[in-house]
Amino acid sequence: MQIPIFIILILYLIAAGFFAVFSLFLVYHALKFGVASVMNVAALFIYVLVAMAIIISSYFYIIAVDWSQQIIIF
Amino acid sequence: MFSLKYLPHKEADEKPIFVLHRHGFVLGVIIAGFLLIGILPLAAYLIIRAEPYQFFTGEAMAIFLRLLVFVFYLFWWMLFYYAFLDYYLDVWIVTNYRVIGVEQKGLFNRTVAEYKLFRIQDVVAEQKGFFATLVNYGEIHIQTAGEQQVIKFKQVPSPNHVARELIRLVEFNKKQFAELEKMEAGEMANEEKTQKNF
Repeated sequence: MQIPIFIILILYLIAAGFFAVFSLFLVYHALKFGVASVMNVAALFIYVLVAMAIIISSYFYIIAVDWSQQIIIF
Repeated sequence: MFSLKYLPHKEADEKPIFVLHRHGFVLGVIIAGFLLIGILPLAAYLIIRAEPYQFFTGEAMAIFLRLLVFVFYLFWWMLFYYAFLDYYLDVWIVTNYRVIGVEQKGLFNRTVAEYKLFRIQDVVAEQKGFFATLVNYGEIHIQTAGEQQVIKFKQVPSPNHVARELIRLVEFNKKQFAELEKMEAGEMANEEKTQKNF
């Protein structure tokens, strides 16, 4: 039995989508309820920066993979 | 974001005396915990590399594991920031007129409590535990007149000093309030007298 490898990609995209939605909630909370201070702004900036770095590096990995392959289970 | 310059329902001469978050040590513990969790994939990689199991070989598995690592770090980073926000959005503000306590419990549970200083009756500072004593943080319980409910400052730095200052502010505020009431009562008596004379 064979299944297409892009199922792994779909699972990854679902997880990344959940991450994006939850991150929007977090950023909204930081902006709406946080005290206007250097620490809050710096933390928000670092959060977005690191999140972008992880997303971009995963993107470069994903485009390098041949997603037409099949996984042989049995 | 809210600025301390623009507190809600601010009095003309109101100024913040203390703006308290939990002690930096608490944030340090959170950071250390997440850093430890952050090295887990690296440790797993080193273990698999040292002793390659049959299960982890094959190209599909390599792709799966790499994407799993990306997902792990995405969620790790997200929960790290969530923990930071949980720490940072808890804030207790003491001004020369009132005490404001803001507590964020998770993403969708937020409590904002506000009490006038002249209504405060008891202030209790409490330091419990080895690290709390060592790095000087603890709780402050504030009891208001006629109510069982208290504001609790959690894990704030120098609780004894803050409690002392708070008691001083409360006493000063009560005196001012009493004087104001006396003056108002005097003015009302004068007005009544003048009305009677007419």
